[in-house]
Amino acid sequence: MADPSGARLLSLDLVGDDQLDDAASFVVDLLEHPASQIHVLEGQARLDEALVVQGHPDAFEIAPVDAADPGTVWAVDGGSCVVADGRSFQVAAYRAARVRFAHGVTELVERPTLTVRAVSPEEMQVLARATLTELCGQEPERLPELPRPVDALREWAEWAEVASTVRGAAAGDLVLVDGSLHGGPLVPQAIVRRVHEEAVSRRVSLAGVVKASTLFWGRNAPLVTLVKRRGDRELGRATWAARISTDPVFGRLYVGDIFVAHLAPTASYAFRVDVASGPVPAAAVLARLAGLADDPAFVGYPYPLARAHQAARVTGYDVVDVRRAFRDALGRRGMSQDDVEVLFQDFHEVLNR
Amino acid sequence: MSDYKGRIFGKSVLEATFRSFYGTDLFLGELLVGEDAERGRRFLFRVIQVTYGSDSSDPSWSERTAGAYMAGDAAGTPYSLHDPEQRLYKVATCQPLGYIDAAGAFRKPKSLPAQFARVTAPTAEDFAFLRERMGDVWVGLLRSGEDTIDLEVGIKGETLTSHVGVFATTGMGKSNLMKVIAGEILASKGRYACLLFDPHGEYLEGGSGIRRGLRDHPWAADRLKVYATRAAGAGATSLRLALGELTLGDLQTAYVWSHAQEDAIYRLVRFFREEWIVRVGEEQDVAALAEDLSVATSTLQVIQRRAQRILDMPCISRDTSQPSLSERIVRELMDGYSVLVDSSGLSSTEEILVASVITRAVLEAYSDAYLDDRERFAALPPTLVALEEAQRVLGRAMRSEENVFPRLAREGRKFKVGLCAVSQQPKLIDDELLSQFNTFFILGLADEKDRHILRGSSKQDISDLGPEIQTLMPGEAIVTNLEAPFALPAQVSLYEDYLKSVAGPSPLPPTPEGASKGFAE
Repeated sequence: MADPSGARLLSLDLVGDDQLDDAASFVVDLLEHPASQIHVLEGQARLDEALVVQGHPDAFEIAPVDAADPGTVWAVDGGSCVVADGRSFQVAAYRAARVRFAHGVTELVERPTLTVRAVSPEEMQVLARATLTELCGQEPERLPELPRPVDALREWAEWAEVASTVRGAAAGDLVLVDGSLHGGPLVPQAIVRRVHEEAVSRRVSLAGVVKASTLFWGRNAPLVTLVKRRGDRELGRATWAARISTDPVFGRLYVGDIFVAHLAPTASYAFRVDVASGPVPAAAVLARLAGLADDPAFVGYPYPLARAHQAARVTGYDVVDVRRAFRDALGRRGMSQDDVEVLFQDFHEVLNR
Repeated sequence: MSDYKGRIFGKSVLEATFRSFYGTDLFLGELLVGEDAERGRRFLFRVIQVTYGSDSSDPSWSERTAGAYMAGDAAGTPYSLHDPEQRLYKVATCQPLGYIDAAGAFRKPKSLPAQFARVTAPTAEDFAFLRERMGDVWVGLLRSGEDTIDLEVGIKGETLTSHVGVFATTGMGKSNLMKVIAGEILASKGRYACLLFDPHGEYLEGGSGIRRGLRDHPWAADRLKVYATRAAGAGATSLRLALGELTLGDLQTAYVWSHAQEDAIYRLVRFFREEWIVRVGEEQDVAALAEDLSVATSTLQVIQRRAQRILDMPCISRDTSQPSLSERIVRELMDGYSVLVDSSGLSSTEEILVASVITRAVLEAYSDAYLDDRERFAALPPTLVALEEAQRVLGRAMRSEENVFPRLAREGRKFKVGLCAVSQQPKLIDDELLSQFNTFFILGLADEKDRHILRGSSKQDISDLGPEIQTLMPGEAIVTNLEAPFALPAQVSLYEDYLKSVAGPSPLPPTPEGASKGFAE
C-alpha cells in the first residue's frame, strides 16, 4: 500500500495553492506603486549596466501619428537554433533574412540557407574578434560575454545584413531592424553607429522595432505596457507615439530616439520603436511605420518585419531536419551511432517521458 | 498560366489533395489533370471540396485575423492583408477518376500520380477516350465546374431500354433535359421512339415566354404524333380512350383500393364483364346491387363514385365502336414515331390512368412481338416511355402486381421498352425499382434523402458528389450509367440552342424544268 503521506505530493492542479495569486499581487502592486525612474536594460552604455533616467509614464507626451505611404521598406531579421550542445562546444545554425516591401507588396524575400558552425569557447573568441572587427571596421576594444554562442552568431549575421542592406538601399528607403538600435550586449555600439553613418550618408532612414522591450519603470514595471494603458485611456482607438528618450543622456548613447508607439487603432500591442536620426524627422518615419502596421494578421506591427521574421525563423521541423542531417554527417565522418546518441542525449527527455 | 492550378501533395489512391494558388478559382465538380511526366500518365481528377489554406502554423490564425479585420472595420480604419497571394492559398480535395496511360488508354485509378505533380486544366484531348462511349443521344457538353469542355455528353440510344432516371428539384432543368432527349429521339429518324406523357403541356409548346417545345423541332412534322385532351393546335389528335381499353390493372395503378373494394370489383367484373364500370356507375340502387354482390353498400358507393368520375372524363369514350387509341399509339411507336400525350387538364389520377392504359398496351404489344415474331421484334425501335412525377407509380406502396410501371422497370428492357422516370423526389421511389435504372441524369437536388437513395442505386460511385449535386445550377447535371467510366458532369444544352444545331429533313429537290409536261411530246 502506498504511503498516505506521499499523496500530498500528488495533485491534479498544475500550480500550487495561492502561488498564482501571490504572483498576481506582485504584478498589480508593481503597476500601481512603481518608483520614479526609467530603466533601460540592454547591458549597454559602455557600462554593461542598466541605464537609469528620471521619468514618469504620465509625463511623456503622447502624440497622434497619421499613417503615411510607407514607400520602399527593407526589413531584416534573424533565426537560429542549437543543433547540438556538447556543453564544452555548441553546434549552431543561423541565418539572417531580409525582405523588400514596395508599392504595397513584398517584392523580394531573401531567405538564405542556414549557416552551421561548431564552436568551442576558445574558437568563439577567435570568431568574435574576426567578425566584430569586420562589422566595426576596426578591432573592438573588448569582446562581449558570449554565454550562448548561437545568439551572438545570429545577431552578428543580422547586423551584417543590415549593413549590407543600408549600403544597397536607395535614398528615401527605410530599413527596419528587428530589435533596438542599440545593439544589445552582443553587438557593440560601434557597429550600430557605423551602420547609422552609412544610412545618413545615403539618406536612408533606419528604425528598430522591439517586440520584447527592456524598458522598465521603477521596480521593473514594463514601461511599454504602462504607456499603452495610458494611450488607451486618453486617446482610445488611435495611432500614437510617445517619445521616451527625453533625457539628454539618450542623445549621447543612442543614434536616435526611443518611442513607445501604437501603430494601429485597434492593435492590442504597442512597441518600443527606435528611430535613428536621419534624412527625415522621426515623426515621418513613425507615420510610415503606421502605414505598414495595417495587416490584420499583425495589427500594429510593421508588416515587412513580420515577413522577415517568417523568412528567417527556424521552425521545429527545420531543427529536426538539421539535427538529422548533422547526425548523418557525423556518421559519414566515422562517429559511431552510440557516440552520436550520447552527443545528442539530453536527460531532460528521459525525465519528461 | 491560367491552366496551371497547383501541385499535388496528398494523399492516397482514392483521394488526392493539391495546393492551388490564392487567385485560382476552383469549383466543385471541376475536372483537372495531374501530370505525371515520369511515367507518361495523365491523371484525371474531379474537385469534390475546396478549403482555405495559409502559411501560418497557428490553427486559429484565420479566425483571429478575421477578428482583426472586423475590429478595424468597427473602428473605421479598415485593414488590408498584404501579399495575400504569398500567404494564402486553397486546398482542393479531389476524387481520382482514372488516368490516361502512355498509350492513350484510360485506366481506373489504381495508382498514385507523382508527388507534387503539376495540376492543370484538362484539354478536350484528355477526355477524347470518352467519345466512343457517349453514344448517339447527346444532351450537352462535358462540364468542368462552371466551364464546359468541348466534348459532347450523351448515352447510347440502345441503353434507353435499360431505363433512365431524371431527378431534380423544381427549376433545375428537368423539362429542358426531357425536351433535349426527346428531340434527339426525334432526330434519330425512327431509330428510337419515345412515348412522352406531358401533364403540363410544356413539352409540346415549350411553356411560357420564349421557350420552345417539341412542336418547334425540325423533325416534329415528320416524326412526332401528338394526342391531347385539349385543343393543341393542328396536327394534334384528340385523346379519347375507349372505356374497354381500361383494365383492372389500370384502375389499380391509378387508384388505391382497399381489399374489400378490390373484392367488390372482382365480383362486378364477374357479373357484368367489360360493362361493369358503366353498370356500377349508372346504378340507381346501390344498396340493392351491393346486396346482390354480397358486398357492403359503403364499399360499392366508393367504387360507384370513382366509376362515375371515369365515365365523366373527357378522355374516355363509351363508344364501343371506337377503334382503340392505345393500339394506334403502339403502332406509331413501332413505326419509329415519337408520341406526345398532352394530358394537361387531367387530374393526377386521371393522368396516371391514361398513362397506364397506353403504357400497358405498349408493353404488351412489344412483349407479344418478342414472343411471337422475333423478326418483327428485331426491327422495332427501342422505345422510351417518359413519365413525370414517376414516384406516384413507382413507390414502395405501389408494388402491385397489376401496376404496369414496376413491371416495365423490371421487364421492359427485354422487350425493348424503357422507362424514363422523371421525379423531384427519388426518395419516394422503391429502391429495388430504382436499381433497375441504368442511367441517371441527376440535376440539382437539395434533399439529402434524395441524394442518399440515388447513391445506393447509381451505376457509378457518387458518394463523394453530395456537395456538387447540392450546388448544381439549372442545366448542370451528373450523368451516370454503365457506359461511362465515372459519373460525368454535364452541361445540358438549352433546348432553344439545341434546336439550332439540329438539321431537319432535307427539302425536296426543285422540280426539273419541263417535268410537269410529262414524258409525252
